[in-house]
Amino acid sequence: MKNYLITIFNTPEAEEHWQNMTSQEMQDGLAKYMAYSQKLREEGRLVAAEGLSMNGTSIKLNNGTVEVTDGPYILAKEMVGGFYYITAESLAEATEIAKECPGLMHGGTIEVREQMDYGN
Amino acid sequence: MSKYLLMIYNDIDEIQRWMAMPPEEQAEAMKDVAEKYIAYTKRLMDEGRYLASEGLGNKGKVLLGKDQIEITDGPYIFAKELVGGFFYFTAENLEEATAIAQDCPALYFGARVEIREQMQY
Amino acid sequence: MNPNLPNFRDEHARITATLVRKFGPQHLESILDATQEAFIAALHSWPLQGEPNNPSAWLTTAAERRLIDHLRKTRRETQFPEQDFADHSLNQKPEEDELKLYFLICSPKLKFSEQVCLMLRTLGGLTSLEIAHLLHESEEAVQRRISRAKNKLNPDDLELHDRNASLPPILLSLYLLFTEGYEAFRGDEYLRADLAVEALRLTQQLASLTGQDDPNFHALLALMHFNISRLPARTNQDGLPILLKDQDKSLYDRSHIAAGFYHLEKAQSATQLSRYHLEAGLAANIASGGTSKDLLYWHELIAERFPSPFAQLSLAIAIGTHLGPQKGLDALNEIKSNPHIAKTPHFQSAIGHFYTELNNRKAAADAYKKAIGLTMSSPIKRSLEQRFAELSESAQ
Repeated sequence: MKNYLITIFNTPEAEEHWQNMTSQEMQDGLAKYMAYSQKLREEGRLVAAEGLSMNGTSIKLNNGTVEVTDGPYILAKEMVGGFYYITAESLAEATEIAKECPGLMHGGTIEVREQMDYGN
Repeated sequence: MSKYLLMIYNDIDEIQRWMAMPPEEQAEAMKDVAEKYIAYTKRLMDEGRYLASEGLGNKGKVLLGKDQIEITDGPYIFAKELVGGFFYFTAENLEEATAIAQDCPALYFGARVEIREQMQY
Repeated sequence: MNPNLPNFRDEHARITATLVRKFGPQHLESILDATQEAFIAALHSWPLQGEPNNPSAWLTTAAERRLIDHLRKTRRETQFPEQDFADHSLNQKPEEDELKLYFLICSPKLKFSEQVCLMLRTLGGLTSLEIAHLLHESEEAVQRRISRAKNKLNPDDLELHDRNASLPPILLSLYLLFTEGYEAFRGDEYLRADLAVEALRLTQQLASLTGQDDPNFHALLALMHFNISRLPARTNQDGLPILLKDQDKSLYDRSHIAAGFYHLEKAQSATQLSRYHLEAGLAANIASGGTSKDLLYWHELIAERFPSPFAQLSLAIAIGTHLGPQKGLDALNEIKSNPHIAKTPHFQSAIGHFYTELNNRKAAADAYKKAIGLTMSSPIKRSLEQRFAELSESAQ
């Protein structure tokens, strides 16, 4: 078993999609999303998961001085919206799990990453 | 107390500079990095705020698309950066979390780090 | 489905009303944005973190926090007085807050069209696109109207204006909300029965809270009951629509039909017949198995007294059903220059239907193809595709 990080990147299209959802669509979307999480939990593979708020800072060292900027770091208009930290047999299995993530249906981009191989 | 995710964004040029190092020099540098990360992790644990952390390798997939899912190999690279790892810990507030993040060794290896608060209300 | 999740539409109305009471209706625009953002936050965080112990309280707090953030930002620019943020003592009857909100929105300061747009947004949580469809308007026009309307509102208006003046836009909004529930124009469901039932509930609630014995209220309630009575027969097991002529009338809900007649009786005291009276009359006829001739009579009456693109289209279909497909096509041809009619999938599918009856498969197939391209509702699309497929099968 290895650890995998599934990161959900929210695109501007995804954001617009959320803004225009009706109450009913939100409710249906939420139910699907919760069922997905519940399944991961029941399978015992969910280590941690979190939805991230807009509250944040971005930090970089510039010539030895720490530079702190407010707000989430926006990469090419996309922003990390949340993550699932799970266990799986292989990258292939983790990818299968990621395919079911409802974040995709809402127009997000999803990254699956395997833990670093420390050579042991 | 809130939960915070510290994400490490590595610059591709910086990664390539590392890859280009002679093997011995690279091993030495890696050892230094590993020690610093271990010390940082231990500090978070000692302070009772550690939840999880992981260094992420190059093995990955990117999924995209609503109806038909398109899958490509490799980490997701945006504006010459990719996520190299994360720390997940607790802090009193964003200020404290930011202060803790300023000691993250990644900064001293040329990375940018981002702190994000968990969504609450 | 998680049984602990609150009904989002109810929550939407409740939170909006609560925040309007606490912060004042002049902030309605920010309040609506904050409420929507709270739901988005729930979507982003509950699946990952698990749902909170008290979802309703979570949503209210989330909306309030976002609203305060927003007001702080704008106050820096516009110097709002501190008292804007005062927390008035909590009203014990939240439904009265909602009622007040509706009367406020229907303040005579606003234009009728502005009142209706804003009502549908707050009352039913409909999006601008859905409202645009109901009003045969562009989405941009609806958005402009909503933001203009929000800027005109003032909390003092509530005490001043004559409530009776607010009834017409309130009734129309409830009617339109019901219409969207009765046949959703986009999405995965042909009907949004819960929305139709919700519109009925809101209408009943408003009637009882205002002590209104207004005949128009009764007419609206009658038309809602008659139409709801047919809901069980309007879709098949796969959620696809069933045409009126193919509906199993034994499935019609008798108790709703009885309630419909009760309100229709009460509605008779009107000095003037409203659109709701006529539509209730039509719905009563359909629910009690009226002939195509009876239905044509009602459609003619409605199109004559209350002309609208939809009324004209329905009349053309009624003509074709009673007098034969060619007459129906002639009637449809007469109204095709109206862009509001011609671009609806209903217009094209009616053409497809009548051409099928005339055995003109090519023309029918062309029309169904156009209708398929126009509809945004997936069950209607599937149903049209079935009819399209049946055409080519029978041709072989």
